[in-house]
Amino acid sequence: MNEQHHLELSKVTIDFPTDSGPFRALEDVNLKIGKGEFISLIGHSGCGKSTVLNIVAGLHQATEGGVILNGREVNEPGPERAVVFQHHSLLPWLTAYENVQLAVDQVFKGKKSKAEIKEWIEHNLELVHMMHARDKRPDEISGGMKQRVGIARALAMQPEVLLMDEPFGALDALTRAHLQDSLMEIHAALGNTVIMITHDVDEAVLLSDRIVMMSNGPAATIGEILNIELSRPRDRLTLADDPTYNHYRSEVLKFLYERQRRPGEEKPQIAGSDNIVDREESESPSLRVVAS
Amino acid sequence: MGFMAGKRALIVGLASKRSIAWGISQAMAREGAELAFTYQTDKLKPRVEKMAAEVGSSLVFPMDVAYDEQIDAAFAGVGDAWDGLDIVVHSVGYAPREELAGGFVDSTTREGFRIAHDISAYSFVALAKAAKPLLKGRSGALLTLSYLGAVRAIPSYNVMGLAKASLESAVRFLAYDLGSEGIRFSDAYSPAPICTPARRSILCGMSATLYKALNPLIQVFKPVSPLAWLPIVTMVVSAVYVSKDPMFAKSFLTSAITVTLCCLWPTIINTTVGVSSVDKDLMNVGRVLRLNWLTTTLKIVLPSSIPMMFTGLRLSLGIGWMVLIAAEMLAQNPGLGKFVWDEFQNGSSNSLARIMVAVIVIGLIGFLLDRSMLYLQSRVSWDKNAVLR
Repeated sequence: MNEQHHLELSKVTIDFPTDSGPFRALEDVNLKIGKGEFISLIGHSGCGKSTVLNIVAGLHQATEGGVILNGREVNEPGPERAVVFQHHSLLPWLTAYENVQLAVDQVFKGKKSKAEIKEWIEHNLELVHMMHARDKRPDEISGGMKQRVGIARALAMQPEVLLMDEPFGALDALTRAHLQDSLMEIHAALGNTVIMITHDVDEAVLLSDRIVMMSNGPAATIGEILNIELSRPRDRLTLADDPTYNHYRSEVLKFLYERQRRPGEEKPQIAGSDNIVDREESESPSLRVVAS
Repeated sequence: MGFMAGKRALIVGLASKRSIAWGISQAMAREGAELAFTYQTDKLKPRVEKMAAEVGSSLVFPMDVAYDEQIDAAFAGVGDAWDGLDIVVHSVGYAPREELAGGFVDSTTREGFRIAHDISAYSFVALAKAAKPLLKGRSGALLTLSYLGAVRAIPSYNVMGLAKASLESAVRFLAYDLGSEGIRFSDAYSPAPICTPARRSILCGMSATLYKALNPLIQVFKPVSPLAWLPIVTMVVSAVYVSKDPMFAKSFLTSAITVTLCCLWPTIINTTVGVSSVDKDLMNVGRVLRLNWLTTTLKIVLPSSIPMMFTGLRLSLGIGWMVLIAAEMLAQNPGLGKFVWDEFQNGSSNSLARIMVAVIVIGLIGFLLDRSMLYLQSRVSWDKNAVLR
């Protein structure tokens, strides 16, 4: 039992009941994540990325295997694993402030005084640059602003793990770039562990420490893991011409469009149970085959 | 290979396939652990050997936890076969049968108390003692199984509850004593009743089962005409509501109940639909925040189903008004309906004009009722931008 693994997915398999018998969405997903690590999950639509995230969040129960956070099994949702949903999921009848307040009241009830709670809510809205719209309802602000409030709500729970399901998927490119920068700042400042689902290769390479590439379903699993060894802070403009950056980009693209394009092709060999690349032990920017 | 690959576990207390120990063994074997077993008496030997073989183990030792020599012998056997041990599962508990029947005071004896504590609680300490050398340096774990009866009085569990309480205390002392050597203890399992908490159901909408149960009833009663209800209601009211100085006239009560029976359904159905169609993501927000049932209902379910509830209320109000007129005619309750009916019956030359006026008034009142409900909705609903029509 190695304590340095903050979050561990062990042999996660999930079946969904359907009319024609159980459908195996994920099979044998193994992943060990260190504290403060930024992980991106990338893969074709329907490969079970969201399912992985929902299992970590506790919203789904794995059929076999499980998730261990700080040595405890995850079997229900909880505020230490905050979720930023794809469609912001703010309560439309509450203002930005009240939406964050709902979370803060729940998590810090009895631990913070009223004034401290107010300060903490405002601090988190400040973090995502949303103080100017604190009294606006979700339908009065833009998509990017809603997503910011969603992130503020998640951060306000002081989560150990931040789970993001395509948080910027529905935004235009400029807003997205803006939010990515904010997210990098926040991640650098708070050091939360982050698992983010994305479809955007640039986003994945720019933000992540590791990119987890998923094979196609059914019975999807982790195809390959790519270590991104670019120094932080990262700047999108300088990186645009960086050969290493472009190498990573093309590796991900190759995985998505060559190796995973035609399902049924021969897959990489199983490398045994200890098939996980550790953050510490990776010495060169290399691509490793981890599982099939 | 699973997350227990390379781990070695000794399972103490496997007696049959219904033992909790058997479930634990299967799970451990599935996750790649190597297993060894003990059996209590020779009678159990073949059965335990057979089960051990099913999970790929041939290491089976005799051990009656009542005897220290047997415990030592079994651990010596384990030590010969393996160079160390990672896990010991203690799934042992016993009290004489007479102790577990009837009242606690009458059933409990000095000897029964001794046996229950010896076999169920001391044995865990004895196992820890014997296992200590083998667990050394391997961050081992000792597991035992307790039950709710350790902390609450459960009928007939009697002296076993006391023994389990002792066992749970032993876990704490063992953890304190041996924790520094990297040995962990757990009694986290209170296996029965294994409960899956049923959660969250406002009326039918949040509970699919309740909805399934009630929906046929609702759908059957919904289309029943007020004309069919009225005679039944009249009969019931006449039979039940007998008072010399009634607060309400019988005809009034009859109309009121009939109206209720007819206009109830749209509100129920729409509320149900509204509650069940709350955005799943919003419900997930509630789950992630671990909101309790009441907060979820007040903060998430009610606000988001208000529009549907009002649609139902407006339908109900419209139907109620229509039914009221009809009920007044039939029940002879003073009101617009009775007025129209009386005018029709007396056949004077002005009747038609009066009836026409009454019809228009009925229509206008209905319109005003609907408007007032809309106004109410605009005051209550959070969505001020919604176009209400």
